[in-house]
Amino acid sequence: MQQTYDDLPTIAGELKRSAIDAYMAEQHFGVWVVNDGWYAVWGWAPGMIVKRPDADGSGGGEYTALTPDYKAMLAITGPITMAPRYDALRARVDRIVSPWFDLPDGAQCADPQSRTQTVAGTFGRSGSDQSVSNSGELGTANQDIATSLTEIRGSFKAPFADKYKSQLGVVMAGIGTSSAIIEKYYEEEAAIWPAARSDVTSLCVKTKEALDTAAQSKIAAEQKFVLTCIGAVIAIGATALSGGAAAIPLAAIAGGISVAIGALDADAVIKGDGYDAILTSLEDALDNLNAGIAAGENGLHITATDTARAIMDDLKDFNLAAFPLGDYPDSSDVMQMDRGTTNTIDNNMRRILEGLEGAVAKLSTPPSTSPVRRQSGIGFDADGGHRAITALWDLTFTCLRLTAAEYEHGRALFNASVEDYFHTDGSARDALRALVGELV
Amino acid sequence: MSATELTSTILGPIRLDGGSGGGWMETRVDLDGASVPLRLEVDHPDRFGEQLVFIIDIALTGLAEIEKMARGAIESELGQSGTAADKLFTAWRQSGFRRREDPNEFLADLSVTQIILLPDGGADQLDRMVFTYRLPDTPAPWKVVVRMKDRVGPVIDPAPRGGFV
Repeated sequence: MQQTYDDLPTIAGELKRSAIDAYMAEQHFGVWVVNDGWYAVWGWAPGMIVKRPDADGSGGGEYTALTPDYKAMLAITGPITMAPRYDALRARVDRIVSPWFDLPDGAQCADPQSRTQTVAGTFGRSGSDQSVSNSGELGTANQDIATSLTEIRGSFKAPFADKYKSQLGVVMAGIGTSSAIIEKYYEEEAAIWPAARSDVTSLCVKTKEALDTAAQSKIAAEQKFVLTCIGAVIAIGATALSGGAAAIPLAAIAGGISVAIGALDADAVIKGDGYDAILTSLEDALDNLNAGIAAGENGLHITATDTARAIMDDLKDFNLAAFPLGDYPDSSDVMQMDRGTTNTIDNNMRRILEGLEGAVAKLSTPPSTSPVRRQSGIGFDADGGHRAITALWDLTFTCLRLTAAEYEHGRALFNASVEDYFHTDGSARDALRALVGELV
Repeated sequence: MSATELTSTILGPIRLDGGSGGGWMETRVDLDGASVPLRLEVDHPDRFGEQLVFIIDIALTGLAEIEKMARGAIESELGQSGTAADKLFTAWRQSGFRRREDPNEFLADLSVTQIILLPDGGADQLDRMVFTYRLPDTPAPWKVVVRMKDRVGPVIDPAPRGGFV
């Protein structure tokens, strides 16, 4: 039966025994043809036999005499054992393999990936890249508002449209792009770990095969194969960031990722003419795999921090509340509008507000712990890029929440201007003045 | 340390002839009360040391057991047509002054006339002990050679192309 990553602790035990088998081969001992729980010189010379470790790699090393001469010798010397040597080999295998125990499987990335994907889609992302084109439902509603506004005259129209129509489009693209970048983090982590698990398993299984060949006093064939995880990491660099109308310098960030990932070698080779060289080749291959994972996660970390910096540098393009409202008249001047048009605008503003509130709900809780936690020493950090991506998530969520609240104000302001136009009584005017005083 | 300082508990002091390309020593060992010529062949005299002498001693301490394994391999080839043991058995039955059929008598007649010990052959030369068996009063080519191979056990050389004549 094909062994899988879940079998890694078992495989590590088998690897220990195979390493000891191969070591004993170099000491001229082979698995005894009479009883495979023992080693004999060349596999069949029975003067003195040595206990072989169990299948899980534990135990073994004691000499047992089978002939009178050696029995007499052991009676004088006392027990002779190779256990300390075996222990050193076992410790070496543990050192190489055990950091790779308990790798994440990436499955916990599915929920945050799905939620950020939904938010990016809400803001009009259509493809698989970070392009957010305002073409979604909210973009259409905003376009309908633009059309309706052409049928309205009044000095309030220009500042209103500038902030709550035009700048809203910029902010939605910005938040959508940021969400798409967060989604990419979870998507890539979800791709890295199943591949890493499979690579670690393959490397250990191939190493065991090479050791078993060496234990037969044969020269192990060189085993070359491609690390799928490194392929996944290289794909991060290749498909990283493209498109998008937002104020995020995607090309520069993509350049940063490429530098972080650098020139990775996806080829691994397990070879060697003895246990020492074979174990060293496993060590090298796992180091290479680890460097690949670290480089990929470093690239994702850079993406998150660069994106957060771009948002902070140009906050008004991500947070509608940070965009000033122009001179807004607190009384109706020369105005012209009809109820049908204003109702259409209000309906579309309600649609957009609901969309924003839906997105707020989706982003309200980032994962509290890293969904790809692993032992320290593997990858970029024991938590991967969790801290940086959570910081970006929090920042994006704050921008989104403030934008939704600001848009709700904008809708109230529009309706106050409308009511002021249709009912020139004092209370409508007071309501408008109060709102303008609050927002401008 | 020169090789002459090495001493085997079974073979005594080991003094190799030859140079760095390979060394050898001719001596004799006791096998079930008979003194049998033994040739020690060492591929790497420069690396020949106490560890390998220890291995040789372990092997030779169990020599009688190993020889039984070699003899057992011959026995299991009897009756398998085309094998060296079976062909020699056939030749043995047809020779001599009386008709012989008993395989046990054949096996008892077979004796080890030479042992070659190759302790450090490595992966490209897996023979570790080579036993040559002969029958009394038979032509020189009438022999069965059993090679005790590393990690494999006994392997018998094929019969001469024309059989034993």
